[in-house]
Amino acid sequence: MTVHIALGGIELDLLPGRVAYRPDTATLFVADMHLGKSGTFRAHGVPVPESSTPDLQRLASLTKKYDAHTVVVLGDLLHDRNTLRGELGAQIQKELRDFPVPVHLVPGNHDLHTKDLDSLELTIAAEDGELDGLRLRHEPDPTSVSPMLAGHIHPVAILGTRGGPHLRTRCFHAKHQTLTLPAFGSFTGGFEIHWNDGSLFAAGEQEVIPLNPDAKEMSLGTPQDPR
Amino acid sequence: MLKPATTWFSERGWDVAPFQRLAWESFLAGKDGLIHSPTGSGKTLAAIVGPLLERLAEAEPSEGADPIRVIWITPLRALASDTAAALREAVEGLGVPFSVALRTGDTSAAEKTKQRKKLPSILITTPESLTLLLTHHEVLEQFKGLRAVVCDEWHELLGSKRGVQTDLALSRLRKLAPKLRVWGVSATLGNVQEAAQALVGPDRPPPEMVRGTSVKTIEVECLLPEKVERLAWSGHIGVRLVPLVLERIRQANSTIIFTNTRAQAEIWYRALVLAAPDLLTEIALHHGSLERELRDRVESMLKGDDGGLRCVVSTSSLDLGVDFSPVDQVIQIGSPKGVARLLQRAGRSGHQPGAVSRILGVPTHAMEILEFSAARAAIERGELESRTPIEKPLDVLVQHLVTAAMADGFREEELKAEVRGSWSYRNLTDHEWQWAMQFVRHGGDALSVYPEFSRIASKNERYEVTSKLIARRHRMNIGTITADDAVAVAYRTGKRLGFIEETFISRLRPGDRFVFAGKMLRFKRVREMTAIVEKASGTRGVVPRWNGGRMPLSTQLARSVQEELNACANGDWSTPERQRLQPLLELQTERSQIPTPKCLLLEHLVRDRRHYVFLFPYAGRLAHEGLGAVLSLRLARQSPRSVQAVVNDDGIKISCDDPLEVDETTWRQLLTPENLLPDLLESMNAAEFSRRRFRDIARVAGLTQQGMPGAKQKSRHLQASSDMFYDVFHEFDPNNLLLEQAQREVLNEQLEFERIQSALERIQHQSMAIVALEKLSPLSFPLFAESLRATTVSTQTWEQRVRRLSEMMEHE
Repeated sequence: MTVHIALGGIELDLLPGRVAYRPDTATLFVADMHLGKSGTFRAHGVPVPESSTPDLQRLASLTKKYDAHTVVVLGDLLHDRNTLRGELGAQIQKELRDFPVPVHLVPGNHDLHTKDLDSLELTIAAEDGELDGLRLRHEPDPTSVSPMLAGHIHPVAILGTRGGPHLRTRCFHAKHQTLTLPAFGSFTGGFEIHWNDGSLFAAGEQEVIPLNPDAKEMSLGTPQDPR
Repeated sequence: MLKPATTWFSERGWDVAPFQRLAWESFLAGKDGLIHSPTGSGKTLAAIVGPLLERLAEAEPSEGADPIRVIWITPLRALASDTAAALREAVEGLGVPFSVALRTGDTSAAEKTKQRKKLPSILITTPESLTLLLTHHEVLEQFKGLRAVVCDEWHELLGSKRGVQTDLALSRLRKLAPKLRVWGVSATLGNVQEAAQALVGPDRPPPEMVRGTSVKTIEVECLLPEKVERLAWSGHIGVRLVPLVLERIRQANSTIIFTNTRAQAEIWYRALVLAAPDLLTEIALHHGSLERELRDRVESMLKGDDGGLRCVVSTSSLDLGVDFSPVDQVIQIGSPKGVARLLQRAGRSGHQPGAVSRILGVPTHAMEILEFSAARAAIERGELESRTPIEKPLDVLVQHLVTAAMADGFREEELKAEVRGSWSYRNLTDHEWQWAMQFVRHGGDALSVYPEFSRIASKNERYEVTSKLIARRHRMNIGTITADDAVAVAYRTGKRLGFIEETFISRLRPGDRFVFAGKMLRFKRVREMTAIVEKASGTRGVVPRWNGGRMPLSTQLARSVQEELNACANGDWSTPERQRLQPLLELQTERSQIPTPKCLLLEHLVRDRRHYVFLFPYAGRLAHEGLGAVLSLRLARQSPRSVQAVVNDDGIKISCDDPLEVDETTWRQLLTPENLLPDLLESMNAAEFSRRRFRDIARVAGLTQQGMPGAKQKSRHLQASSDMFYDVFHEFDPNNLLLEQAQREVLNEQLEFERIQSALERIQHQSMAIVALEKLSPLSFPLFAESLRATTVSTQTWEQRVRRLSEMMEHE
């Protein structure tokens, strides 16, 4: 099941694989990929398998699957200031060069410090800009009066009742005019959003599931186009 | 050669106990050894005097204090300063040119640097600090002259990863110091021989077994409630016995009350001071989550400072160590859980030679009355629990490889032999060794080399640590003690009270009241990993729960409980505890029958259209949990239905909305030991268990950093949770042996696989009594009433679980 919502009149699909899709402009939104994070760990003596290039390949296949014409990254594409230098950096550059559709980056706090950011084949958008009526930022602005997409928070929900089993899951978080996307990167952590704080949607690999009453109320049902 | 010691003893008016003489002679004869006794004193002198006599016999002139000769390993920092005082007394009494000093996590950095240049003759340290020392070149040189290592409270280390870490360090020291003898000091265990061999590894001859004299008789008494209601006890006697306990406290000068969990300690402390406000300043609380400063104050008051204390309510945080003068009485709240544990706690009272150690049991459940009677019987029969050393944990090995690479580096073959010379790794395979080497060299196995990673690399056939940064990080991370994510609790002024698990705090809202450190507090907010609180009034507030408090009844005690039941079934009501339970057990006979070691009892009942089966295997709560899940799975397989299991230390409740079979043939099949492992893995949500277990493993293997709880995090770009590692390994490196280790630890420690297996094998030889209940029996009642902590066998997907849990939250 995917979830269909409207944010200030703009319709959006919350899709499995931790991405959001805007049907009327065929744009795929993704946040917080943190490419190169595992490499930073390894350089400091912590063994982690490489996940950056698989993550980029996963994004490319989601792009094809949903037939998106543009991909917008809502910040923190890269993790470390030195990510683009070295062997892994070259691979990331190549993956982006071969990416099937144009990529726009709303730069996040991590990206702004990255050396050689302009060597990437992508369009760098404004830090607080607008695209077809949607405000796009890396850090959400809770006072926003117009519909906004953001990242940065890495929202997660913790499910379970006292004494019983618990489950921690990445989620989409919608509140007032803002939709915050889950972190896309495989090797990223999260920040717990309280159960009653706005609408929470569990972001699974096969399904997106409205969690709390607000989220159920917000869901407009499955999109007609059975992707 | 013993002369100086015997003279010193007689000057002090002491007698040399035969076991002390044996220990000294054996040490001087070049033997390793283990000194063990259930309680009683004189063990410290038995262990230290041998090395002192050896030095005296050498009669070499000394210039200042001798270089290092003895390492004394203690599991607890708090124990170190008391031990130092005792050792100094012996050193001075015998006139040996030795210096004595501590080195623990509390030692200042300046002092540590100074010490490294010239270590004291006797060094008192913890396993962690010892391992840290092994990373310094100048220290290894000095260790070559070591004569003795003494592992104090060895039973505490054995059976834990700290014990494995100690094993590895000992193996290293044996290789460095040819004249080294290793001695252990331990409480009595069911497996003392194994405990002794674990000290010296597989290649050395069995150590001398020195049995200390038990100077005390132990008396176990159970505080009996006036009346045990036959069924009105939905398990809980709770704090109803507070008035009787208070009476006992007032009768004695000093009392320790031991509880099984930190939550229970908080609850009893509150209940006691509310019932007796006049004792408020004379009763204290002590548990491991309280701020060190608060605990120190209680400990010093226990030793008689500030007018002393009349009573302290404590968890196992006071079980060992803290060497205060003995108290008049010891009280155990709730199930004794294990025989050895009860003995050790009892030993806290009446230290005078020949005195009687008494422990008063306070049941919180009716069946616990029988557990005290069972513990007394087991003590009389001398049946004590074993502590089994952990087999070759790879996370500890990985840590050790980096440690070994730090000081002088190592040659692979030499280190492999040395590691196999430790008890825990005696069966290490070449494959496992290679994997661990690959892990620290390249991150993954040969096929999945991680780019840009290396912790150690070879230089002229010696492996060394690749960078200073890695060395520094490693030193900060040495150790195997892991703490749950803890949040500090403090007043707005910054005064800290202690630590609570993050999950508990995350469920509080500003304004909520909770009980902690014996106080009623109001939660304000969380700031930088600190929960800010203020004092509150009132009597009702939630009590935090800490993980890890659920200890099962030991195998020995469970067996003894069955023997007690057997005696009752045969009409033997000869102890006060059995007498008090007589009405209840007669009701059991009336409605069903009493389970015995020879006969497995199965009761069944239909109520409100739900079907129930109750089984009483007496294998302990954890094994029951695993067994309950396996039985539910096997039942659900026979015909599609949703089956639930609930357990306690006595038995298992299986329930289902559809009919359950109750014939012997079916249950014989359900209870077969065949295919236990695959069924267990399938039924318990094994993946979720492993994920939780992986936390500790990630920390020991150096994946996640151990931060001090409540401390500000540095280097944010290197922060990652074990969950994140678990996920990426699963996805990108599924053959990582650390994942396999997590599963193994879950099976062995969490689910007690071997206990489940032996329970099922035992059941094969038991007859089976199947009873259709008309009314609930006293044994099934607590299980029936318990609805929390049900394990529903889940072959559910992530999606199904998310849906179910979010529905549950909505209805809460």
